[in-house]
Amino acid sequence: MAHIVIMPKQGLQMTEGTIIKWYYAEGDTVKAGTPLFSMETDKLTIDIDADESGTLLKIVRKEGEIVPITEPIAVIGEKGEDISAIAGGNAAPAPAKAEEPAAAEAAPAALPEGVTPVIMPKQGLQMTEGTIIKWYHKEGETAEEGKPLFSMETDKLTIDIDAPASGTVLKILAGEGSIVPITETIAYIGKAGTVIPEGGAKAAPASEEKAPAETVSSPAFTRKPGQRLFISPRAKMKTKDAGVDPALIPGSGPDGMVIERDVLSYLTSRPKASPVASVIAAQNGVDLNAVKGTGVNGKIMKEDVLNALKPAEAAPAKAEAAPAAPAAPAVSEDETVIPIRGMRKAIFNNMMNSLHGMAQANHRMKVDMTECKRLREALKAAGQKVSFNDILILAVTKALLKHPCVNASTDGTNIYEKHYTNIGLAVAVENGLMVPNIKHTEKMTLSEIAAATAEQVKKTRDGKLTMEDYTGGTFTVTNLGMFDVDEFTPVINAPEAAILGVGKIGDTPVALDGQVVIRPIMTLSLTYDHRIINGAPAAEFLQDLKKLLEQPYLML
Amino acid sequence: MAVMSYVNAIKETMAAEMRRDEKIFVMGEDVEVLGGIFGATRGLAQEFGVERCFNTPISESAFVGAGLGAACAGMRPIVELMYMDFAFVAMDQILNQVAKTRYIFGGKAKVPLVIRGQQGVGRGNAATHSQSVEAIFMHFPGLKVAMPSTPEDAAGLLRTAIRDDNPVMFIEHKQLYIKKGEVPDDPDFMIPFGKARVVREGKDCTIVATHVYVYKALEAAEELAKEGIDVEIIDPRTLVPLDVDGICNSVKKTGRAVVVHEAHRTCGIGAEIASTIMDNAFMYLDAPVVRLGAKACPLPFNLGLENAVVPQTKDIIDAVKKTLYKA
Amino acid sequence: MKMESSQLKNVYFTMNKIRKFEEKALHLFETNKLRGSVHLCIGQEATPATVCELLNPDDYIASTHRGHGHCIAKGADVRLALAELMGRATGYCKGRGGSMHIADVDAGNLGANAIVGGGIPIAVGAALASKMQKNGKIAVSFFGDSATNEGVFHEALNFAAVWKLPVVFVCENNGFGISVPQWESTAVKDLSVRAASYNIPGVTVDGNDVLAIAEAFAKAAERVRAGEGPTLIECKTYRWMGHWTGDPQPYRTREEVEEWKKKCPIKRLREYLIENGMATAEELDAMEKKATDLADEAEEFALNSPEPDPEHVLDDVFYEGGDN
Repeated sequence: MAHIVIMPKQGLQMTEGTIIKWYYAEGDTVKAGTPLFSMETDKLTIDIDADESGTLLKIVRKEGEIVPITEPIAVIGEKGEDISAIAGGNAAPAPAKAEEPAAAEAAPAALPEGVTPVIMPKQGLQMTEGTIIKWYHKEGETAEEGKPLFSMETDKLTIDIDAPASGTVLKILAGEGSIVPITETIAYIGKAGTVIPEGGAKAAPASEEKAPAETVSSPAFTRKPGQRLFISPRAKMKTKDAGVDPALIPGSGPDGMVIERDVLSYLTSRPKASPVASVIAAQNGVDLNAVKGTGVNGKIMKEDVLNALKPAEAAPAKAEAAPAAPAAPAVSEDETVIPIRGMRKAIFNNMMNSLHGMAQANHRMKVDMTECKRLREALKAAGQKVSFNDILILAVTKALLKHPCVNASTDGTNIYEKHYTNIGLAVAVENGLMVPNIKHTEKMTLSEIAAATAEQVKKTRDGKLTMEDYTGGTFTVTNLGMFDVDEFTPVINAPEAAILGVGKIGDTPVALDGQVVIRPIMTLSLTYDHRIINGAPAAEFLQDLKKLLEQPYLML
Repeated sequence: MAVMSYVNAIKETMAAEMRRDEKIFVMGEDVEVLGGIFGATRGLAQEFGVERCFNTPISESAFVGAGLGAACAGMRPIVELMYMDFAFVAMDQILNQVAKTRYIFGGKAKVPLVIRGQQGVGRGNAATHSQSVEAIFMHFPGLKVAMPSTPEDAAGLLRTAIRDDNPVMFIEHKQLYIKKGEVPDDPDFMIPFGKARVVREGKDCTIVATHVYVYKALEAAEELAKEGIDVEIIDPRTLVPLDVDGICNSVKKTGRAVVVHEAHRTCGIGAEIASTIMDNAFMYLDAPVVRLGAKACPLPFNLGLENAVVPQTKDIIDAVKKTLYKA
Repeated sequence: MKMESSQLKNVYFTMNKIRKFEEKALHLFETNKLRGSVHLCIGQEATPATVCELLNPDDYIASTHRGHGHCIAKGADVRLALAELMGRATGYCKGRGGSMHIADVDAGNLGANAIVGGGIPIAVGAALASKMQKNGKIAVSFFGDSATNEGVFHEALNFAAVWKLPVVFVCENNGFGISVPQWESTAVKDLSVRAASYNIPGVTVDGNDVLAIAEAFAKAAERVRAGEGPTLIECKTYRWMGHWTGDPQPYRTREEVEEWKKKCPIKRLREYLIENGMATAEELDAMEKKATDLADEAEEFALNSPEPDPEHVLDDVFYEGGDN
C-alpha cells in the first residue's frame, strides 16, 4: 500500500517548509528511519526520515519548493505499484487527512422530517464508547419511545437503552457487536418508508465532544517518526504514573495534543482487547499494539494474545537476531523448540532474578493436621466450606503479624516490614503460573478469606486478573499437596522476602505420648531471604505457624 | 449566628470593634449623619459621637494621609473611600506613603490603618465609579488586600483587618451589600488572612473567583453539573496574603483552572493567580489556565454595554469547557 | 516672645551640626562613598534649627526630601543619620530609606518624604491623633515652596483648619522648585497669603533670621496648643547648593548665590550673639569645632558600619508581631 509523505510540522510556529534536498530519486529504495529529505524553515534546517521502507514512487514537490505543512510531497510504496488513485497522476494528492476514513469527512446531509437519530449515549463519566450487544428491533420494526431499543455494554456496565422516539426503525448503522464512540449515530427512527439519504448514513457526532475513542480505535496508533509529541503536563504525569509511553496515545487536544482525558481513555480502552487478553498480555509483557485483533472491530481476543505468544510458525525468533529477519535455528526432528517468550519468559526471568538477587535459605517443619481436619469437617457440617489453603492463609496471616520480619521487603538500603498481609497464592494455569494475592487478610475472618480466595482463583482461571490482583503481595503460599508432593523448596516471589511451600497431608505413623499413632502430617517448607531474615526468627515463625495449625481453634 | 446583610455585617463589626477599642475611629465622605451613601457607617456617629465617626472634606489625599499620620501616632483609623475609584485621587498617599512607611522606616513604625470602600459594576455608575481596583494594591508591596464575598467573610475579615497592625485595603462590592447570610455572634470572630474558602468542592476544574463572581461561578457550576462537569470554586478572600497552597492544591486535584474577576483582565489578579498556578502546579495542569476579566475598555454606562464588558456566567461556563477541551 | 540666650546658643549649635553634617555628606558623595540623591539644606539651617528648638521632644514633625536638617534638629544622632545616608544597617531605617526617606519615629520625626507635599497630610494625621488623644502634642509640617502648588497642600490645610488641628505648616521657601524659580511657578509672591483660603493666619518671615522665625513660630505654637488651629508660616531662604549634588544650575547666576551666602544664617546668629554679649567668639568656635567633630565621628561610624544583610531585605514589609 502506498504511503504519502507529507511536509511535517516541526516546532510550534512552523506553517511551511522549504525542501532543500531529496536524498533519493524516484525509483530508489528508501529505508524507514533513514533520512529521506532535508527541509528548512525560518528557524531550522532538518533531515526528515522516511516513515516507511519501500520504493520512492513519486516526488510531488521538488527541491526548492515551499510547501505548507501536512501537504503531500512524495509517495512511497511497492515497486511498480499503481498510485494514480492517490497521487492522481501528476496532481498533488489530497492532504494527509486522506489517511482517515473518507466517510468521516462527509458532511452530514439534512435528515428528512420526522427522523430521529439514535446515538450511542454516554453512560457514566468515563464512557467513551460502547459495544452494541443486541438490537431489540430489526430495521422495519416499530420501536416505542421509552421502551428498550438496544442493549449495550461498556467496560463498566451492560445497559438497555430506550428508544428516543416512537416510529419505525429505518436504518441500523451499527450492528450487534459494533463498538461505537459516544454520541455517534447508530440508527434512525422515523415514519415508515422514509428514506435516509446517504450522507446521513454516517452523521457527524451529535455533540461537540470529539470522542477520543475514534482515534483510539485504530488498532495500533503510532506517531510518525520525527513527529513531535505535544502533551499536557498533567497528561504527561499520568502517563508516567501509569508507565505508558505517551507516544502511543492519540491526542484529542488542540493540534493533537495529548490531554489527560486521552491518557485515561487510553488506559481504560488501551486493550482494545478482552479483559482476559489484556491480563495475559500484561502478564507476559506483550505489547497489545503489536497484536492483531480478530474480534469484532479488530478487538484483541485471548486467542490473539496466545497466538502472539506461540512460536511463530514460519520463522521462530532467535534471541540475538534482528526481529526483522529472524534466522531459523537448526533443529533435529526429534526435538521441539519452544522459544522462551511470553509467560515463560516472565517466569524465566523472575525465577532467575529471585535466586540471583537473594540469599535464599530453607527451613522445614512437620505439622500435625488432625485438628485442622476436624475444624474443616465441623465447619462443613455447619454448612461452611473452607479449604486447607484457607485455614493456612489465616494461620500464616496471624503468624506474619507476630513476625513482621518475615512479612517484609528490601531495596538494599532499608528493610520494609509490613503490618498488613497481602497473601499470594500460587495458582497453576495452562503453560504457566500466576500468583494473585488476597489483600488485607489481617482484616478478614476465615470465611471471608475462603470467599476471597475462591474469587481470586476463579478470576485467575478465567483470565480476569487485573494488575492490582497480582501485585502488592507481601508473602506467598504455594501448595503442591494435590500433586502428592511431600515437601519441596519454593523460590521466593520477589520482591517478597519469604514463601511457604506446603506439601501433601499424608497419614504418617508418629510417636505420641510413647505410642505410635497414625496422624495426618503435612510438611511446611519456608524459603526466606537470609539477607534480611535470620534463621532463628524464621524458625520461630514456622514454630508459631505450626502451633496455630495444630490448635486452629485458637485462631477463630 | 445572626442573619444579616453584607453591609450590616461591616457596620456591626466596626461598631463592635469601636466599643472594644477607643483608638478606632471612622472618617470619610458622608459617613457621619448620612452613614455613608451605602449605609456602612449608619448609626456610628450617633453611638460614638462625631469625634469618632466624622465627615471629611472631599479631599481623599488629605484624609488618607491623615489616616496614615494618625495611625503612626497611635490611633487605629478606618478610612472610608466612598468609591474605590476615588483611591486614585489619593494614590500618592496610599502607594507612596501608606504602603511604604513601615518598610522604609526600617520597621520602626506600625500602620494600623484600614482603608475600606466598595467597587464594581451593577448600579449604572459608569466608568469612574464602577471599576475594580484590587490588582493595583496587590501589586505594590506593603498593603494587605481583602475582598470578602459573603456577610460572614465581611465580618470576619474586617475584624482581622481592624486588629491588624498593618495597612489593609478592604475592598467591598456594591452589589454584595444586600446579600444576606449568617454571621457568628462571637465578638472575636476573625477570619485569618491568606486562607482561601472552598466555596464548592469539585473534581474537574477549579474556578478561582472573587466578589460577585463567586456567585456567578456557582451559577456556572450548576449549569455545568447538568453536563456532568464538576467544578471546584475557590474564593481567595484575601489577595495579600494570597493562599497559594489553597489555590494550587485545588488545581493539583482538578488539573484545570479558570480565574475570574470583574476587574480588567489585562494585568488583573487573574494574571498573577494564573502565573502562581503555573509556578506551583504546572505539572498538574491539563490545559492552560483561563483568565476571565473585564475587556480592555472603560466601563460603559448602558447596562447592556456594561454586561458586554464584564464576564458573564456563560463566559465562565465556556471557559471551564475550554479547559476540558469541550468547547 | 524672645528666645533665651541658651536657646539661641542651642540653635547656633544645631545649625552648625546641620551645616557640618551636610558638608560631610557632600564630601562622601563626591568621594563616591555615598550613593543616591542627596538634597542638601546648606544655607537653610535656620528654620529647622529654630522650629525644633521650640518643640517638645514628643511633638511630631513631617519632613521633606531635603530633610537632613529637620532630622538632626529634631534630635537625631548624626552618626545614625549619616549611616542611613550611606545605607548602612546601623542607620535610622536600616539602610532602607536613605537620604530622601530618613525617619526617626522615636524622636517624633515621621520621616523625610520624597514626594513633594507627601508629608503634609501625615503631619495633619498626627495632629488629629493628638487632638483625639488629648495629649497636648503638636505637629509641624515642613515643606518647600513648590509643595504649596500641590493639591494635597490645599487639601491638608483645609482639613486641618476645619478641625482646628494642632499642626503648624512651615514652608521653607528656598526660591526654587529644582530649576524653576518660585515666581515663575507660583501665582502669588508671598506663599503665606494662601492661608487666607483656609481662614488661618499666614505669615511670611525672613528664613535666615532665627529671631524672626522664633517669634512667628512661637506664636503659632501657642495658638495650636490653645486649640485655635493651625498657622501657615513662610520662611524665605535660599538654597546654596544645587538641587542635587552635580546640578549644573543654569537657572541662576553665581553672583546670585554669592549674594545669598552673605546672608548666611549661621554667621548672622553668631554676630547677633556676640554683639549682644550672649556668647563669646571662643564659645561659638568651640561649638563649631564640636559640630565638626560630630560629623567626623559620624563619618567614621558610618564607614565602619556593616552593610545590611540582603537576607533580611523582606523584613518589615509587614508587621508580623513581636516587640517592634
